[in-house]
Amino acid sequence: MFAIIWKDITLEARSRETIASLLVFGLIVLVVFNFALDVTPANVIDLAPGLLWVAIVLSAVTGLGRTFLIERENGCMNALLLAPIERSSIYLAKLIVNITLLVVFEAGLIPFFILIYSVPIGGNLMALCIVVLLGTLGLAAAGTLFATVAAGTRARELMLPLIVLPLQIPLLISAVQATSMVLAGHTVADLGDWGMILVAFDVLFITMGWLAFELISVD
Amino acid sequence: MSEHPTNEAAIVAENVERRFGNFRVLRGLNLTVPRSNVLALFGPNGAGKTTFLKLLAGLASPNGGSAQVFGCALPGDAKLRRRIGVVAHEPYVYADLTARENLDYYARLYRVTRSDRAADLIEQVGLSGAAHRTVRTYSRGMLQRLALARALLHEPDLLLLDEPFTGLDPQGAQTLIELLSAEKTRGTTMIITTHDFDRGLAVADRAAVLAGGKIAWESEEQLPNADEMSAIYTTTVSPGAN
Repeated sequence: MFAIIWKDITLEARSRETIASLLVFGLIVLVVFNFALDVTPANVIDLAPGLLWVAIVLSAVTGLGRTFLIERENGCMNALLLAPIERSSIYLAKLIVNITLLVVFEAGLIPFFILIYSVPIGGNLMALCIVVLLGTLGLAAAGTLFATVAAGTRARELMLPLIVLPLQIPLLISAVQATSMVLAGHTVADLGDWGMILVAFDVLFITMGWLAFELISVD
Repeated sequence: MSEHPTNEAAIVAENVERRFGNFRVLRGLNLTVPRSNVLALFGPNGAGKTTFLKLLAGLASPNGGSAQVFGCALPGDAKLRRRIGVVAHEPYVYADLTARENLDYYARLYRVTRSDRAADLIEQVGLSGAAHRTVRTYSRGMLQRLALARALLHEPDLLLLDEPFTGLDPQGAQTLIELLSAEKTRGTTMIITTHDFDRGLAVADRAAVLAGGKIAWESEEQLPNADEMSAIYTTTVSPGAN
């Protein structure tokens, strides 16, 4: 599993294709909405969380498929499936790579988001990071699982958003609500049902990916 | 060499069927390959050779019949996959890694403990001068040599070679024959699919023709020469023969 992670990170470090496309896409979304909407100090807590998560989810969906697309070139996916490792650990390795890429992307996106919308983060930066991380886990877990399915189809660029975006709706709503609460000054312990939904979504899709990967990856 | 028992057949396929949609590629294939034997498998395009090798490698499951590799029912588990090496139509290497990085990666995946194994193989397949170049700059023949090194890296007990001579120049083909002969001496069981009778028979000690999704001809004790094989092949795969 660590060999796969090392290889994917090495390939990304050389090309920087995924990180670059994630960042460019995310920043464009934030900039465009900044001009399209009149975000003021009075409504920033209502509007900004939605804008942040739209930027994260749309960028992620465009970038998550790449971890399996690099395996399609030269038939490397078959080599992974031939390897003497549990096939579910391929899913876990790809999930860890996707989470790492998304966290790096978000580390660039969130300071820009705070700056451009003058978000009153106060002392709640850590709580915001926890909420974003919980959302990222679920996003990456579902995205990684369905990227496997999409990578095997002809219209793979189209298939991944079509499959993943509808599934992400509960995660997206919970993440937006939890982010709103954090920006309003609540702590992580106050998140209640929204926090529980985020955790449940994470557990559900990581478990599903772990169990289903072998079934969906072998012909 | 493996410490597994040697009295078992390496491959036993009984009435193996494989469909893609409504199209039956393999139609009741029966084949037994004893351990340490090298089988040259000939057949026309679309006969099912690649599909059969994919089944044996555990990359696909049969829709009917049964197949065993080293006594383990297919598609098998991680332990069985450790004993299999594959050279396929695609080289299974990463274009943006160097040859050495690719082999180091596969060595870690297969838990190869010999630290000099990758360097040894790169030298054996004649890629020493290009070992630190990214694979994207390689020619088709160089990719094929690297694919062979990757397949041999973990010293498999079963080698599945799908048209391994494709893209190789005469010197590369000779290197491949020498490497396969060394593997044969080591006791590796091999299936080689090819359209080249001379080269296929150069390392084989059995031959078979796959046509119409099943074994249409299998050699007896005496292996035919290339000319005889060509005549057998033509008769076996001619329209109406199956």
